[in-house]
Amino acid sequence: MFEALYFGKNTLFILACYGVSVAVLSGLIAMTLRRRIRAIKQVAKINAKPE
Amino acid sequence: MFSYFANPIRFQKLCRVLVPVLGISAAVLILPAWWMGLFLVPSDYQQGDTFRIIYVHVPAVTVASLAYAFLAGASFVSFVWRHSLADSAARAAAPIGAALTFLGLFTGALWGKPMWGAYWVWDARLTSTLIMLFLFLGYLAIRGAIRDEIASARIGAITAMIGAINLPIIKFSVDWWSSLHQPASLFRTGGPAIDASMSIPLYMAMAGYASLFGWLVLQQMLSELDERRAFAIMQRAAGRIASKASTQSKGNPDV
Repeated sequence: MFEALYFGKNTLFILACYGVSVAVLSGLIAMTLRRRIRAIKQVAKINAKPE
Repeated sequence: MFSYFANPIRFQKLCRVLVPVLGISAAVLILPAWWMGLFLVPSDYQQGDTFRIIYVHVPAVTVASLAYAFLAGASFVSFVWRHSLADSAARAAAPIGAALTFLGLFTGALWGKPMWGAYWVWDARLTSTLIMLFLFLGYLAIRGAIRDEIASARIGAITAMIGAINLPIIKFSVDWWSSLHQPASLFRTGGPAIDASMSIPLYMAMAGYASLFGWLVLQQMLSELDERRAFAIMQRAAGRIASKASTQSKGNPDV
């Protein structure tokens, strides 16, 4: 399996680029989803409160 | 059109369709494009396997420039028509654009080392892209530093619009100045200079990154709308409680 990820002498550079891209894009998605869930919960909590 | 979607209810309705479409298209475009870029596409005759970095570098930089154009456009709409949704769109686009610009510069540096022998050179393309990162960060700093929301939106919008001058400089820097960075190979007169076997995954990745950008911006805008709604409901409730308390205290002379 690891052989497939071997691209010669510059393997480290290639994998670092893909790795950082995965990390940054995942971070953006996670940050956005966390804010979205928090906002939805906030509205739901306020709507559920009795007047 | 801007006024039509400035209505939050209409905007939320539009998002109900757009958000899943953008999210799904981002996933079905980016992941296969990366897989093809890493394992299917043949090696470049000059750069060997190192050219595979193109599938993460080019989409990041291209969509970062698009993000800046979007930021400047939304800032213009917010500045001229004072639409709060346009301001919300600009505020949502800035951190995403900054992250994509960082990604483009970082992957470019890792591509530059084996190809040029240096992580960084003060080349026109690289420098103008670095300026774009500073413009994104500057915009975010302005929005964070000024408390007054209207002043913050206006000063931020002016900064973003002035910074748009940098976009054609980024695009044409490789033609205007002698550059170490390769010239345009996709969007140029005479068609793309890359073979279809290599360019198709690249177009897929670019479309995927653009979809992801759209998905992230819309989700952030929806969150802001919900947060504002929650804040408004809380303020109304606090006002009701305060007025009830003042009525009670007026009726009771001991209080």
